[in-house]
Amino acid sequence: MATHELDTTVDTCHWGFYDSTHAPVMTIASGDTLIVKTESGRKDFLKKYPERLSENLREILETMEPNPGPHIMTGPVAVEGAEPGDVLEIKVHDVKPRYDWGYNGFRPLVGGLPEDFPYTRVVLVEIDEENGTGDWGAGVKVPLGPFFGNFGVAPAPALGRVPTFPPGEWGGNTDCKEFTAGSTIYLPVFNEGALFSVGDGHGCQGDGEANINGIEMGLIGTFEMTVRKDMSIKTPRAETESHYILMGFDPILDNATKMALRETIQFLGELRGMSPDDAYRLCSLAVDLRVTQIVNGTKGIHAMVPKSLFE
Amino acid sequence: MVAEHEIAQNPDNIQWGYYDAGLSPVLTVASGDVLEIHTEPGIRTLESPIRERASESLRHIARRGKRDLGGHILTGPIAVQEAVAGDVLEVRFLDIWPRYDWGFNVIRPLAGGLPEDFPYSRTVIVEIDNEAKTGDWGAGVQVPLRPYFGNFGVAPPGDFGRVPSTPPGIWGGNMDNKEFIAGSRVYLPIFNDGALFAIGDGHGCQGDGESCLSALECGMSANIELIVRKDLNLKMPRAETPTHHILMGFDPILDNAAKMALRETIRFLGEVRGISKDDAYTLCSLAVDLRITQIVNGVKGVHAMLPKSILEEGVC
Repeated sequence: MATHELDTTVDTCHWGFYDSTHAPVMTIASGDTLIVKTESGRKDFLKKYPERLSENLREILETMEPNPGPHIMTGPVAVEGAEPGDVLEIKVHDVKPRYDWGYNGFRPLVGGLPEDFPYTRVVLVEIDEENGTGDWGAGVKVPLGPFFGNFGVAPAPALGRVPTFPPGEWGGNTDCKEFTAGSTIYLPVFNEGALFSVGDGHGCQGDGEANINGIEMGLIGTFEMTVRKDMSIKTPRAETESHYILMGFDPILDNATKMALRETIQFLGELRGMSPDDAYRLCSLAVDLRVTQIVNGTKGIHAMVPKSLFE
Repeated sequence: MVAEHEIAQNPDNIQWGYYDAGLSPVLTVASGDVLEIHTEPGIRTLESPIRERASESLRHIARRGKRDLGGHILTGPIAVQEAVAGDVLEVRFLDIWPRYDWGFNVIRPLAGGLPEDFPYSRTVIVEIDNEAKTGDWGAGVQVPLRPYFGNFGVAPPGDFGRVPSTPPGIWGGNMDNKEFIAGSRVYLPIFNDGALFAIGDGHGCQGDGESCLSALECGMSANIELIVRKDLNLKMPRAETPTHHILMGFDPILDNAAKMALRETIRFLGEVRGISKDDAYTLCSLAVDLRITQIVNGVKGVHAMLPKSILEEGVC
């Protein structure tokens, strides 16, 4: 199994969209390992923080335009043999900070409380990789738990060019803080080669992503990518060492909750042959519903099913 | 620990299905007193298969008790001598243990998280192993026990009249927050002299969300301490565990409940730590977890988990 490295350049990045017609920048075989770098930044950083920008990020910010979403995506990477109907398995072996800084910002009309915060505020967060913390300011250090907020396969061709801000069946802006090193994510494949892209590194984030940002920062991820012909799913699923994770996406949290519950009931049926009644009951006793994010237009709820229940 | 008072539910010391400021106390205690309480699981009527396992006291309550509005059998009201309207009642859960070797879980039509998918009734007895601290969910799956009370609160303001025990609200009520295990402290705003505290609805365990309508409903015993706090002023219940501060939002629409929980957290960070609104909003985004408390009580709940550890390290 080969290992491939993919850095961020104006040729390997696209800014703000998923699109099945966007040509792959790299092709790998199923089972290969991909070490991929990502960038996070805003155009105004060219003037505000020029000394903090890497050459790669400076060139991207200078020459590219966000359209229509704000996320700088690395890819797409084609995985040989992947066909529509397959599943792309992404084993996250490692996620680490690329730079010693990140940022958090909120802005008008978006975020969890747009009525209360109708203005822009962006703060730089110093990253201490050795201690695994971000300096939130005022003496408060937040523990790092790096993960990628936004990754996915190209959506079905009929969907055309899809903005990077909502999550969906292709993955996208899931912003699920559980997707740290050690997790495995399963995405349904809609195009030949799957066409995987990744970006939106988060140094850490709370469930909900209240103000619309985690610690936004460049990260380096190590993924083992495998085409699974033995699986068939309609919505992304994931697992960590301790939990299975099922997801619901909808602009209304109440609906997202129902979707996550139905996904969990279906999953428990497939995994254990459990009847819907029994699965529904088990959800009530032992499955935790959490707010993934409330800030991406399409909101997210994820259900945490403890693996220990079945040991 | 020796409790100053011991009270086991009977038809004359319960409010079955409601909170009401007009009720006379069944017990009066002093601030700081420890109460040993023994409660029965909430039911509306005694039907099979619960009937076959019910204790003599639950049978007695089913025969003689007067139920109104909701189904929760709450011990109370308990008056706390020093409490006056505007104070805060701190409820310390010292120890909580299942009273019996069984509990139950129920699905009902028109209720629960997925009423469209489950339009029928189903009641299942769950055997409780108090030594192993598990419930036998069936099919070889043991769910770990994490006992707590789903429903407790003070009497709502007199203007509210008789309030069903089903929704949570500013008085507490059916919060169904699985974090309120032994070791937690819950702070309730007081609206009436004496506070008029009531408690019941023991849950052997529950997932965040309480998806199907009910948890592991079971008879529960506990040692609790009731403390009147004259130094606090609250509009909404708040709570803390050894590791987290917990702020809550209640609303029929989860999106609104999430906003309410966020605003509560931002206000709390301002009051307790002097953190500016902008900074608190950012801290919520980086380090506070929003969780679904329950989606099944008409008024739904979202709670924010604020880790104490991030504040201890700081000097803000």
